[in-house]
Amino acid sequence: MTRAGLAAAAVLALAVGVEVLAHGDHAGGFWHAIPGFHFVFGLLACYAIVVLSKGLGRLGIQQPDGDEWEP
Amino acid sequence: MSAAHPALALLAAAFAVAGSRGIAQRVLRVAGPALALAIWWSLEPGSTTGASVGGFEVLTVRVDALSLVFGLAMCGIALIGSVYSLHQRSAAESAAALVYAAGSLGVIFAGDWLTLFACWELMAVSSLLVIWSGASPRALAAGSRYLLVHAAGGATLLAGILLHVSRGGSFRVTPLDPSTADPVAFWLILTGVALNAAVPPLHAWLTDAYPEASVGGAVFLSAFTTKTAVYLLIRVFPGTELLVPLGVAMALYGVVYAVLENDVRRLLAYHIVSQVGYMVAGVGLGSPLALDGAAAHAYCHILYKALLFMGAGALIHATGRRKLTELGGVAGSLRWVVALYAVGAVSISGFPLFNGFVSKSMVISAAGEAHRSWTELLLTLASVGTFLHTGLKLPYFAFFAPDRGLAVRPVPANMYVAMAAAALLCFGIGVAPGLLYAQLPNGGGYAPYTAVHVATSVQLLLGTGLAFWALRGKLGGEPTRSVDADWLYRTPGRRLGGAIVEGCAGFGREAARGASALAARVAVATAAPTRLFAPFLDLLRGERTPDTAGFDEDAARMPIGATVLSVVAFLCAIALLAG
Repeated sequence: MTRAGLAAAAVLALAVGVEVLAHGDHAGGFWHAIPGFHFVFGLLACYAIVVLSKGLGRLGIQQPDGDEWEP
Repeated sequence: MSAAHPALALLAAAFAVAGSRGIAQRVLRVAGPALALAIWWSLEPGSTTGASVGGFEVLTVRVDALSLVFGLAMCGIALIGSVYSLHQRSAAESAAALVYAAGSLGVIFAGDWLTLFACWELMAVSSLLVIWSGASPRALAAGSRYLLVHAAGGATLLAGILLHVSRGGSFRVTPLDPSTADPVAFWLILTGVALNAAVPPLHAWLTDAYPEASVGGAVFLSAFTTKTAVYLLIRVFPGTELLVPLGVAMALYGVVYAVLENDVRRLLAYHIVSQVGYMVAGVGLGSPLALDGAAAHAYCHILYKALLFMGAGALIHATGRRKLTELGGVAGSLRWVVALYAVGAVSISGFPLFNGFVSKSMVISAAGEAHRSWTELLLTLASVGTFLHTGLKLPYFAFFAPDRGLAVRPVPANMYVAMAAAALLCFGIGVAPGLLYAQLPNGGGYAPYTAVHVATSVQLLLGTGLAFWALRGKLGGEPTRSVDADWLYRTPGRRLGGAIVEGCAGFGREAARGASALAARVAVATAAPTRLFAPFLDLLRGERTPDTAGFDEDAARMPIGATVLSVVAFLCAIALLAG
């Protein structure tokens, strides 16, 4: 693992640790009670956004940047 | 207590700029917004300026907490935008930009619908001139489409206002209650405002036109129209339930399209749609925290989005390229641009210590407090997309992608000064959010720097960063253009318009041909009335009058006997009548 990767892992561990230790009542959704949820959510949401967007692009949203778009 | 209007300083500066050049013009371009800021400073909450016009109480200035916080943001960004574009020499564009800012302030401080609408349209016309100042065929075409859409939006708003006032609604700009307001007027006004807020599917004018403006013009455009509309939504439509799903849809819509975008400023424009979605959702939630969150996020968004557009503009100025597929390898030559862009990127992405962290989370937390789990989760999802594109994809591929051997020309000092000022404000509000919260209508009442909030935000950003690193091979720009709602009026609409014009022209041609033929027949009949009786005369004469003959007075003339006969008949008639 690179130095940047190690640093990111350390920051992640610290963030999850703080979440566990400082956790209190939260008015939001149930997921706030799950330690580390936001890391997993960020990871999976990123994949979902890319897959969904690229899929919509292949379905016809993306068109060649050709002359038909020119004024 | 009467109050001066900050817009007057901008309008005066615009006129002066239009008639000056050189150093004097540049001084005026900065002095106008600076004076507007000074006038804003002198405004006292509760003060008004107005007059009675035709029986209506026109309030050109109405000062309260909401107008003050938006007014400060607009004056500030007008100053920053003016400094940023000082190297641009166009007096017309500079004057239009100042009038644009004045129109925005006019709407924000307007206390009545008439003043509001006049300033609303002033904003539309002046922003059109800013777009056209891009001076490329694409800018001219995009501006024309912008004009078409905003003319429709303005007409919708005006129809709503007239209906509202004529049905006994207040002439003052006050919240509209859907249970008591005229329903048609309510929806017409909401539609007109939603168009300026770029609510899909009424949003495509923004992503179509903003990337075509000049680098300085785009900074002004990024700030005024949509955020002025957000101001009006907060003022008139707080708690309108429909705005919650619309806001969430906006937040996600911009994110999805940003994945596919290749043009750096169009990518940023899609993120205007996305970020305004948070504000629209906040207005729909309607709680004090949500409304403060919408106002705070508009304030912060004006700063960091302008900074991002300034960074992208500096990149375009330096390289002459605007597409990710044409950029890369310039980070070493543009270190300060990269650093200042990065401040905007971390701000919009919600990094702790930067302003997006202290404003965006207000709306998300308000959704949580209202037990709207889906709203909270989907807005969090949209914030993942924001960091993915604005914070990672764009800078990675525009600055750090493999070197394409681009020639880089120097970035003017005024651009750096403006970007540094915006970056400083993004950071300043991030570390001292109380300064912003104290300006909000409901006092803010939010604590962003809890251990849990910081920890979960860091987790979200790390998860997104890890996914980007894994997916970066699939996220580079592609030489494509995305089909959006503007397709409707750019392709079938253009064809339909062409068919209508061609049909009208064809009808006109046929009508003219028919009229000419009729006129020719009338002319012949008038010159030779006996032609009308030609068939009968032919019978009397026993010969046929040729059809194709031109005017022949012998043929047209009545026989002499008929003339004598008619004269005798006329004289007999007189004699009989006289006798």
